Amino acid sequence: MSAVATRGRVDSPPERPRRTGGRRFRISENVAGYLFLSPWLVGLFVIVIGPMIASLYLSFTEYNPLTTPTWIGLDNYVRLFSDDPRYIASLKVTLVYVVVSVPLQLAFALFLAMVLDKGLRGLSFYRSVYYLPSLLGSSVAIAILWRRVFSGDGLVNSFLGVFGVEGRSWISEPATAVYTLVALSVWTFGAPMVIFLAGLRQIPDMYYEAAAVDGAGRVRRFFAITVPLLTPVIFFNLILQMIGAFQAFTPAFVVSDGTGGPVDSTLFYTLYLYQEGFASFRMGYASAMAWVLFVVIALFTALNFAGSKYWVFYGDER
Amino acid sequence: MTVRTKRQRAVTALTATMCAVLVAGLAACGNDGDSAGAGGSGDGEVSLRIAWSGSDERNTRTQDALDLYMEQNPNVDISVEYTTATNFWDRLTTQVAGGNAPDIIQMSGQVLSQYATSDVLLDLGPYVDDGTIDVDGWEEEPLEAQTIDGTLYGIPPGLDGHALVYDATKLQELGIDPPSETWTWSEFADLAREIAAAGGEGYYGTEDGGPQYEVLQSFLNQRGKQLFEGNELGFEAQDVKDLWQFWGDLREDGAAVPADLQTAQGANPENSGVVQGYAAMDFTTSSQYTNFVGLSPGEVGIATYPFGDDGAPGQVWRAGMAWSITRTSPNAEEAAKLIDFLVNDSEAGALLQTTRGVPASPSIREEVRAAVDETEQRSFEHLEVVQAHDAQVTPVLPTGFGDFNDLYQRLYYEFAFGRMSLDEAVDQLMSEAPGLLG
Repeated sequence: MSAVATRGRVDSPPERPRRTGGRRFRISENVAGYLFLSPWLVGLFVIVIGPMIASLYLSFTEYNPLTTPTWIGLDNYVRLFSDDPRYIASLKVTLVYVVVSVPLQLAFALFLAMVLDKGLRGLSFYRSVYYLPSLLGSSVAIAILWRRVFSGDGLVNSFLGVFGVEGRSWISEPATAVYTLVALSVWTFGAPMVIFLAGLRQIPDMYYEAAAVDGAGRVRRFFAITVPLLTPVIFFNLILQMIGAFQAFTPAFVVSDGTGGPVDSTLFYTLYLYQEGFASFRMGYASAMAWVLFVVIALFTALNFAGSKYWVFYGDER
Repeated sequence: MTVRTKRQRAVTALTATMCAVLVAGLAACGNDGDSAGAGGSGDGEVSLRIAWSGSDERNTRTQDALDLYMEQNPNVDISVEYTTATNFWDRLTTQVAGGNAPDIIQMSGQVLSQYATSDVLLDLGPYVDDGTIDVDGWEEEPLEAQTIDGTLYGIPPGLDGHALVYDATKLQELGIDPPSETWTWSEFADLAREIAAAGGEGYYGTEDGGPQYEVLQSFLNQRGKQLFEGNELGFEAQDVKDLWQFWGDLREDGAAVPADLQTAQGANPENSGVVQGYAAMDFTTSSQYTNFVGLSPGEVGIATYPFGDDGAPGQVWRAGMAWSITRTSPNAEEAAKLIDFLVNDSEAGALLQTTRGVPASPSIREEVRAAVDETEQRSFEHLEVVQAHDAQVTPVLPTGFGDFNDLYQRLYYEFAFGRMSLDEAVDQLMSEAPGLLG
C-alpha cells in the first residue's frame, strides 16, 4: 500500500523534463493503476481490515449478534485465561495438532519430493497425483470420507484385521480422534512437496558429484548437502504450514459434526471460536479469541524467524 | 503524439471499463439487500422473504406450496432461502446482525427464547386476534409452547411425539416380543439385555439414551419434575445420577452400545444402530419414523418411551418448530397471511403433508392423514397414543438451552468413556449448567 503511494510521488518530480500532456497522462495512468488495483484494495479494506478493526472493538464488548454490543473492557480476555477450561482444552488440542502434524507433514513431503526428484519417468503425472490430496484435503467430502476410513468398521480396521490386529473406532475414541486429523493433514502433503521439489532442483548436481568422489554415502550427502541447502525452503514451508495448522477448521468441524467431540478431543481453537460466536451467541468473546489467536500465531512466527538464524542457511552467507 | 493519444485513449477506455465493472459489481452486491425493503410499494406489489432449513423433500414441498400462493395472489412475490440445518442458524444470525433478516423464519424451540428476548421476533397475538391467522379448534399447548411472557412468537406448522423405534424384523428373528404400549424402564432394560444376549457378539439391545435430553425430560416428568423451571434447573443431581447409572449398567452388560460407537452416531437416523443393524432400539421422535422406515432394510416398529416403574407415563409431545415473523419485516400483515395459508389452507396442506411433522391444525391433520400412506399414518397414530397418556408438551426452553444441551452431552460422554466418575460428571453439570441458562 505505502510502497505504491511512494512510487506515485517519486514518479512526478517537477524538475524532470516533460512533454506536453505528460503530466495529465501520468495522473490518468496512476488512476488507471489504482483502478486495476482496486479489486484487491477494496477487498483488503472491506473484507479484511474493516472486519479486523470491528472485531478488535467487539472483543471488548459483550455482543449477542442478535442485539447490540455493550462495552465490558477486558472482561473477555480475563475470562479466556481464568475462567474457561474449554478454552484451555481447545488451546491444548490445537497445540498438539500443530506440533505433531506440521513436522510429520513436512518430513513426508520432503521424502516424496526426494523420491520424485530421482528422475522418475512420468514425473509430472506422479506430481499431479500426489498433489491431488492437497486440493481435496480441506473439503467437506474428504472429511466425511475420513470419518468412514477411521470408523469402527472402516478401511483402517479392515486393513489391521488382515494382520490380526483388532482396531477400534479411531475417530470416536477421545484418545485417538485428534490423530486421525493429524493423519488427514499429513496426507495433504502436496503443496509443500511441490515447493520442496522446486528447491531440490536448485541444488547443483556438482555438489553431489564432488561428495560422491570424496566417498560420502547417501545419508551423508542428504545431511551434508541436501538439508543445509534446502533450509530456506524448509523454513518457508514450516511457517506456512504452521500458520495453516493453527487455523485448521474444516476437518474437525466435519469429522465431529461441529461439536469438537468426542468429549472435546477435536475441539480446535477455531472450532471453539465458531461455537462461541455462532452457536452460543457470544460474538464479543469469540472476537477476543480471534485476536488472541492472531497474537499467538504472530508470536510463533516471530519465534521461528528468531530461531531461523541458527539453522537456516542462505547461499550468499558465509 | 498520435501514439501517445492512442495510449491515452486506451487508458481512458480501460479506466472507464474498470469503473463500469466496479459499479456493476457494487450494484450487484447491493441488490440483495434492496429487495428486502422494496415491498409494500404503491402498486400493491409485495415481496416477502421466507427462510427455513431441512431436507430436499421439505424444500420441494414448501416451494410448491409457495408457488401455489403466488398463483393465487399475483401481487405477492416470495423469495425463498433454504439451507441445511447446520448452516441455517449461522446465516440467520448474520442476517439479523446485518439488519437483513427475512420476513418469515422457521423458528426452532431450542432458540426461540434467544430470538424472542433479543427482540428479533414480532408479537403474533394481534394477527391471531383479528383472524388473519386462524387457530380456532387448535390444541392450546402447541401455541403455549411458542408463548413467552404472554406474547405469542410463532405458529407451529406441525407436531411430533417422543418415540422409540425398534428393529421389528430382528425381534421376530430372535423370537422376542415387541414392547407394549405402557411398558416400563425395567421392562425396557430386560428387553435390551435379552436382545443383546440373543443377538450375539457386536449386537446391542439399544442405542444409549444417556446423552439425549429428551430421555432425561421423560424420566423427570415421571418423577413429577421438569427439565427447567423458568430459567432454573428443574432437577437435582440425584435424578441425573439415577438416570446415568441406569445407562451405565446397560452399557456394562453390553445391552446398550458402547460410548465410542454412540459418539459416531451423530443425530442422523442413517447412522442409527437400528438402521445400521447393530442395535435393536433407538430414541427419536415420531416425525423421524418414516426416515427410519425408509433407511432400514427391515421392518421398523414404533413404540412409546418406557413409563416409570410406578406406571407414571411421562410421555412428551412437541411443537418444536414454528413460523415466526421478524420485527424488521415491512410487510408483517402479508407475512401473517402467508403463514395462515401454510398452516390452514387445505391445498397447501395437501402439498406440504407431514414435512414439518403431523399438521398442527386439526382439520388439516385429518385431511392429510387420509391422504398419506400407511407408514406415515403410524406417526399420526403414535401422536394420539402419546397424547392419550396424559402427555406434556415440551414447554418454552430457556435461553442458553443449546449450551446446556452441549454440556449435558459432553459430560455424559466424559462419564461413558470413563474419563470422569459418575459423581464428578454430574456434579460438574449441576455447577456449570445454571450459569448457562437465563
